[in-house]
Amino acid sequence: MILSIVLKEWKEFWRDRGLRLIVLGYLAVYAVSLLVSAVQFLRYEHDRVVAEKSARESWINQGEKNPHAATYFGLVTFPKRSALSILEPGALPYLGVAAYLRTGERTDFVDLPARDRSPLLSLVSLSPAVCWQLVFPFLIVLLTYSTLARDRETGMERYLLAVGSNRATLFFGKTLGAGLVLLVIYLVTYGLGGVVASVAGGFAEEDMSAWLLIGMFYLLFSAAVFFLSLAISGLASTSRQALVGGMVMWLLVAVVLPRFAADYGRNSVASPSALELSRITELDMEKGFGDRPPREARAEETLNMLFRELKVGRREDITMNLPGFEFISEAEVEAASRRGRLAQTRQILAAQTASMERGAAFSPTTAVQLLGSTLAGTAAEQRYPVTDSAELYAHRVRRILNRELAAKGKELGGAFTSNRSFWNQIDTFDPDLPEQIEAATARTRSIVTLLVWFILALLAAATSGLVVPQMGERS
Amino acid sequence: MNRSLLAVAAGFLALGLAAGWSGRHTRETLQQIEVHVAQANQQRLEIGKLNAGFTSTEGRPRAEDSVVASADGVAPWMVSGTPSLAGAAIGQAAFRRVVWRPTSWGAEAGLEIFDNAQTMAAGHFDLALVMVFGLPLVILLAPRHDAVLLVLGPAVSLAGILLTGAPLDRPDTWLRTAAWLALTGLYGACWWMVRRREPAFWQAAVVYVTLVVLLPGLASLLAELVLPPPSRLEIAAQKQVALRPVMAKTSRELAPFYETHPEFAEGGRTPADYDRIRLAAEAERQAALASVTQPAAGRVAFHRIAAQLLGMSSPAAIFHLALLETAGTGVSRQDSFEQSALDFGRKWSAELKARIGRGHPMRPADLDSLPVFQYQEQPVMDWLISFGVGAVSLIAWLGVVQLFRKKAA
Repeated sequence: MILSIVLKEWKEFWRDRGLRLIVLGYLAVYAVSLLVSAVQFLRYEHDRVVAEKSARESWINQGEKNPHAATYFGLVTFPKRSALSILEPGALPYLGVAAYLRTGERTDFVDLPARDRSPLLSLVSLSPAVCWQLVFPFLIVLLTYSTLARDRETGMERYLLAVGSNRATLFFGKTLGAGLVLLVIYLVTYGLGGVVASVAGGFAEEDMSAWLLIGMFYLLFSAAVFFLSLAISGLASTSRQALVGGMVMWLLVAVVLPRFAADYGRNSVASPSALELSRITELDMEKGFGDRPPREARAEETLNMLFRELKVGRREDITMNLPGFEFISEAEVEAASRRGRLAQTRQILAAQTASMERGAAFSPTTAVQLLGSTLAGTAAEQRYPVTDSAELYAHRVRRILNRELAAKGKELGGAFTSNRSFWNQIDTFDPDLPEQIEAATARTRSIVTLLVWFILALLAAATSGLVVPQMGERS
Repeated sequence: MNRSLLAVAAGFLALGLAAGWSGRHTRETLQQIEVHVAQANQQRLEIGKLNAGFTSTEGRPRAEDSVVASADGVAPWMVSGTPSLAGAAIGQAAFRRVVWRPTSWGAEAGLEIFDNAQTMAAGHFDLALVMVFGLPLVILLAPRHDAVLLVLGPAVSLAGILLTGAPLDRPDTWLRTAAWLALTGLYGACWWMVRRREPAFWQAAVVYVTLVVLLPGLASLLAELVLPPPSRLEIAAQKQVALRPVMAKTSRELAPFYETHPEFAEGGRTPADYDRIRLAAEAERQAALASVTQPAAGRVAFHRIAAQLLGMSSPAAIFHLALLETAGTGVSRQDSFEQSALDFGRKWSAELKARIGRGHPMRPADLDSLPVFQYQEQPVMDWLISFGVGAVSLIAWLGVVQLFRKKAA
């Protein structure tokens, strides 16, 4: 009996021209978003390889100059993206794409892609993931709002019960019928997404497992929306009421609550400002911090230390280039200050994201956003290790250059120059791809949120489909 | 008014007030940046004044002996003021607001504002969002297409704006609020006209998602595909290429000063020599960078125009863009600020050049008399044009819906 109902639902759905058009429309929108996302990824990777090569050539061919001057010319590095960023761009539009490794500049990835985009991006930014978070839930509402409500409205339910069907059979049959249609649509888009991402980006070591997990979490999310929609359909006395209820649920779940959770996270702890960080670093450099003395005293200390080490008593007797030595020492102080202050900043940002994740208890979309972006390697926090290694690399390069000056520049001073062969000795920076699976294991709160939403939605659907009509005698 | 309509209006009002409350917090966060700028500028000036006017006891030059180095140390950070309606439409304010600073040749974008990229990617919950997404849904799915629905949008907008803590003592706030209400009224009217066509409920839902979600999203995607903004990676590499010959030359000239250190002046050079060479070097450097950044800025503008034109296919996109400009959180206000930062930079640079000619380093009194940046609110016409374009486009949409309605009849 259940099988007959499932088949009937399935056939009825595909016979309906309007519904077929809506599904085709959804698939077309999804395909366009996937295509553009893949094109963006390919453009990015192409530009990254070309830009890295060009920046390296610029470095090697910068000409003969003082090694300290070379720290101002500097190097530029660009982060890599995982193939799964095609499906789930996550925070990438708001993460910088270039880090200028120069003296006097903070080592951070700047030039946010979102800044060059149209402000329409802040309204809707269609990506495959946004299709699953925003458009597919709408499709679920549209295809299920009448599943239980229409038969009740038209009197068909009463007729079917009178000819021997029972409520459980009807409920499970209709649920499975509608669910099967939606599952097929989901699997088509998910599979297509996987194929395109693997062909365009080439799956790395972790990508296959991450892709499977992304699929599982989005399926869980879609199932929760599906059961919520069924619950509304079961509770409503007319199809119209069910659609209104479903649309309100969609607006809350897909649009309002995720943004509310993000604002809750952002407002829970005041955002650190780059300016404040810069101000404190400047103050640290001027007045000292921790066990580091103020600027004037540091210069004095450096000089005295050199006198002791070299067993001399006058500046003129120092056998190395004094400015070079001071550059090394000041760079150490600046790096130590920035590291400490940046760690504090990161803690604040992490606290904001944690608050957002707590807020996700009311927003399954936020939970799936966080999980999806982490698995795709596009979460904001996954950029930190790359920034840190770029900072370490920049610091090491500065030390090598300043040491060269300190060691060999005594006689010529500022006129001491290094050339191409020395620039060539500086190795290239190869940023790592972000950890995906391990980072996702830290998102237990989001996983629990999704599971709880799924179970509650399932219970709500079962209650409204099986228990409420009998209690209320509405049929 | 029937009870169902009252319930819908109450629900919508609650959503608007929640957005206003959330926007109030975001607005306060944005204002913090101005506080940080003021503190940083004060600190820089105090340190600068403490270091200025001394001469080294050992007879060696100090960094502060250079006018350029001294002025760089106290160059004030510049940031645009928080827009009056920022709490109502966060828009670009969260990530577009770059801090600028004057330099010896003009002005340059300095720090980007730190923000949590994860929360930014999720978007903001603000009044603009409630209006763009919520108002059509209320009008389409309300129990009756009563004319009362037409005033619902402006009424909830006004309540929400008041809750965001917009400064009511500024005429600018009231002018912008009036424009916001007018746009909301027109947007509501568009949907009211759609509702009057009496589509089936599910058709109304499909029309809603198509116009509010799909068309704006597709407009962005198509603009991205057809006229993409320039690649920032490419620009970063091009900047290095453009700087290479310039810096090879200027580094040779600045070698006696180890590039930026007048305190280590060698070979009989003085900090005054440093100032002269540095100014010339900066001018060359900026000319080289401009050859890369100016064409890129042009391409960014083309991309945005393409997205805006494609967005005309949806009243939601038109309304959203017009709301951001009206609230002062769109693109034009930051552009206007950047223009005023550049103007200030030129003034600063002229002042420095005059001081270099005087032949003595900066003294505390000189630092006190340096120009002070005062943020000037964007000219009214700047955003009124965007408002006008939005309003006219929405009226055109009204006409189109009316035309279809007549044909259907």
